[in-house]
Amino acid sequence: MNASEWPAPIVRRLARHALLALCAPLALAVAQSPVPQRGALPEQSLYRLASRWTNYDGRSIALADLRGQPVVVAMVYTSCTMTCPMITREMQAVQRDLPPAVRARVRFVLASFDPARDSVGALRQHAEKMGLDDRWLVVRASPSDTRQLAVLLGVSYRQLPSGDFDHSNIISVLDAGGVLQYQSPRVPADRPRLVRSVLETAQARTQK
Amino acid sequence: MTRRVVFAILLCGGAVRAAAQPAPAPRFRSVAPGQVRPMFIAGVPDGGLAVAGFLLAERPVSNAEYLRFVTANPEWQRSRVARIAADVSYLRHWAGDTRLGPEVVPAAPVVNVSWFAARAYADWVGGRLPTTQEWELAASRFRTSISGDPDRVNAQLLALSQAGARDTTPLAAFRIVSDEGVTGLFGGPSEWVDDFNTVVTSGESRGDSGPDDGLFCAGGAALAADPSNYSAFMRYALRGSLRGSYALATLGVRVARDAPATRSRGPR
Repeated sequence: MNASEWPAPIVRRLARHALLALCAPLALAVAQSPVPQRGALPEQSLYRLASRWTNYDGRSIALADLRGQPVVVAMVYTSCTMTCPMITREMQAVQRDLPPAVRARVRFVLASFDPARDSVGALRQHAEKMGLDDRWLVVRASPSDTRQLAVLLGVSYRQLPSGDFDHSNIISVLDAGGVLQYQSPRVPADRPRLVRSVLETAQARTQK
Repeated sequence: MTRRVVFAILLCGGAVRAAAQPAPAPRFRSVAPGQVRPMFIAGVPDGGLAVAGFLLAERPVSNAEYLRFVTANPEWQRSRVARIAADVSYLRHWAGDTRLGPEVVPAAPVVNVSWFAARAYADWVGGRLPTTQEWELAASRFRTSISGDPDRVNAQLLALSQAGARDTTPLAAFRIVSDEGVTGLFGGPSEWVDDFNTVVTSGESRGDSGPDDGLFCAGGAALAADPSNYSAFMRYALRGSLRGSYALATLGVRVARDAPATRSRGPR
């Protein structure tokens, strides 16, 4: 991730650089000021690290585009025959268990950790096969951005010589600002707890 | 008055030059293709996994080089970096945002750098972090391969590392040179690898006896280790315990790059 991928507008950044260059001693004082330089994203927001994804419908999205709504996210690979379908089913069950008003605001995201085999077509097939509605995104990215999201979510994965993957079964809940609120480490998940965390996250947003 | 203006202009000139300093060009060594026997992975063929040749920096990134990085990329300075990208230990041994201080040796490997920061640095200099298997391949190139004569080479490397640890100069590790001319792989700080999050056997496991089947897909099948390779075992254990935001006093950065002919990524 280089400087150009940070969300701050380029003009403002250039202006800051110019300021630094023109008055070095002053700029040092500015650098030490506690004023946040990157808008209102929380310090622990996943959206502070840029990454570029492609949805199963071919649309390109940045992770930060999900800002403003609660997100339930997991990483899978679509040729997985073992726990990945269980992860998706678990998230679908959470979606069903939510009251309609909350359900309408929550996004569900499956991010592939197998970009080599999960083409946009494979993702679309998966979305159709699993019967995912329009609240869902099924996305892929470059190997580098994929690895970055996995590290942000604490997801371990590794391709085996057979082509299959060892991987964690983590389902994560992000708040409207992209901060982790809860992680279910296993499938089957503690679903009441997972649903409760989505509800609390959605309510916290309403209060803001 | 005039003199003051001239002084200000000189100051500006200096600041502009500092900000416009180009990224340092790492001195790469070529690591020939080979076989690696990774730990904690099932289904590895007898000969090990084939790893493509690649370029690896001769030395880890130094404090002086990293200082140029944060000068050119202020969002990676200590007081500005987002906590999600680097924890509170990030560059804590430095005197300030863009000051090393008298305690820090400029040529010594930079430590207290998170994985996100290490990756951003590698990107800045036009490289990337090595993969686990690439790093292990480079580290096996000491006269005979580790798989060829494990007892002798491992004992030798362990002795070298311990000699390095007794040597209090921060550059001692540079005296341990691989057959391919890569220094500091042993006896200095450990180094970030791009895919440190590939150790899928433990971590959140609640029991002592083995992995919890619900936590990992296929994780239960993946226990396979060569306990005779003690230093490799310790490296895998360290990698398995890391998070991307961790900044540790024993963990540094080394840059890799695809071999120019193939431009293919190493296995991940």
